[in-house]
Amino acid sequence: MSEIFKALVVQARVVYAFILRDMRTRFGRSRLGYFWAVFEPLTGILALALVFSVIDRGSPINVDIHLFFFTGIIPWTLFSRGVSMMSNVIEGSVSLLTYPQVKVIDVVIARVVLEFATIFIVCILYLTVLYFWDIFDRIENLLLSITVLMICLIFGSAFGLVGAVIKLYLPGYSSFQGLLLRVLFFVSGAFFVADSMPQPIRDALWYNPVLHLVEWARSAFFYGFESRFYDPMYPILWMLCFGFLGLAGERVTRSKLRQLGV
Amino acid sequence: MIEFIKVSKHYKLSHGYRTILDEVSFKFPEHKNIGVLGMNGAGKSTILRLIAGSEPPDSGKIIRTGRFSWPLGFSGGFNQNLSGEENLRFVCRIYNADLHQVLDYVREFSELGDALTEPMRTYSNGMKARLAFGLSLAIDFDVYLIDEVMAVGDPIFKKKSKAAFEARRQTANLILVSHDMRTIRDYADVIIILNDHELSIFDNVESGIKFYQSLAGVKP
Repeated sequence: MSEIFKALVVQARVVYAFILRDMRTRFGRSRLGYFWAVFEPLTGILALALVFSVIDRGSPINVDIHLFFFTGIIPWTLFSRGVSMMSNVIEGSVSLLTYPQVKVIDVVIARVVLEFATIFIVCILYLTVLYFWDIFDRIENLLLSITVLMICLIFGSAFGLVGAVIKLYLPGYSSFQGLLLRVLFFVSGAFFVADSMPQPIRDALWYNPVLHLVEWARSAFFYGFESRFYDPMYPILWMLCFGFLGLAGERVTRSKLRQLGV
Repeated sequence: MIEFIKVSKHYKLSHGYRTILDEVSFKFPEHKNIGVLGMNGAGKSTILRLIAGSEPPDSGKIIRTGRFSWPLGFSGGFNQNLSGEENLRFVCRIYNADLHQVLDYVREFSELGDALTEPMRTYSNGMKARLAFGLSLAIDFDVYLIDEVMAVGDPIFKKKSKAAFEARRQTANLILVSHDMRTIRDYADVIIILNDHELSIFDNVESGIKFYQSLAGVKP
């Protein structure tokens, strides 16, 4: 038992060291890192709002359109950031494996924690501004909202980790993944709600786990909006399967990294 | 200190495999300075990485007690966008070493001065090696792993490295890969020879070297 405890203490230390290190590399060198963390979701929200005002469409549900896009862009950002920050995690940490206590999973955990903390602070910032703008009032279920956002990030990271493993064998996979993400963005409900879609399209979209997450997040966030579309278990199953696949893949490739030419 | 249990390690080549170790069970002698010899391409550096734990075996188990260094002078684990000092902090954290003590030691030893707060991508190879060398001396390892490189820098710095290294050797042991028999004679107490996917130990350094030279076809 004490062996396991000791190992956990070492791992916690390594994860902590990585969080501080990633903070430095992402935010430390220039103010630009902070700037992007805050303004990247904003550009998405404003771009969508602009398009909607040009084509003269209103919010699909009875809330302010900026807040509506906010509740779509944030889950999407967490998912896609999860994917992109994991896609180089294996090659990126290979030189660090020289330190025997460092495992790829430590880098994964550190990035997930740091990313979540960052987006969390960004959300608070946005909501504060929207609150004083009289656009945002309160959240229906805060704890559930946070949980759904966490699932978005962990699912994205698991998806990205699987991609990182596939990439070792099929280098062309990264461009395929880039394409897939672009398509996914359009069908992930950042700018629509599933219930407003015609039946056949809705049935096809049902297979997209990210749409489930966005609908779930909105249902937890808004009073008076409850999507009939999502099933919480569906994206959770995706997350668990990809998480398992990603970790197993990392474990299998661990002793082969040198041969795979990393 | 370190024991291999049925350890196998192969590398896949474009045609077939290269076998480094094939189900080797081997106990490394404790509290000894070990010289590792083997023909070119036999996998000496791989053995060192297996010992360090920076590469896992294909199968089998490696049991380690005590703290093993990374191969001395290795600077690949540094992040080029962080400063030397930030990299030191990171390594101290993962090894749970005393930050101030290590910083003071490395600052004094590496003679990097103000460069320590600059990003490491601005460092020359020599500067990186000095930092890495100082850092591995500053952390209390029980065993130092050395892959050919014993000292870095210009002759004056080399001398200083050697002296610092001698001091560390009072409390720590070495595992050393070298082609230079003089270095091996200077430092090793026992010889381990990697040949034919097997490890064999020679308690007598001279007979180990002799065996190695007969393998290599060198007349004594």
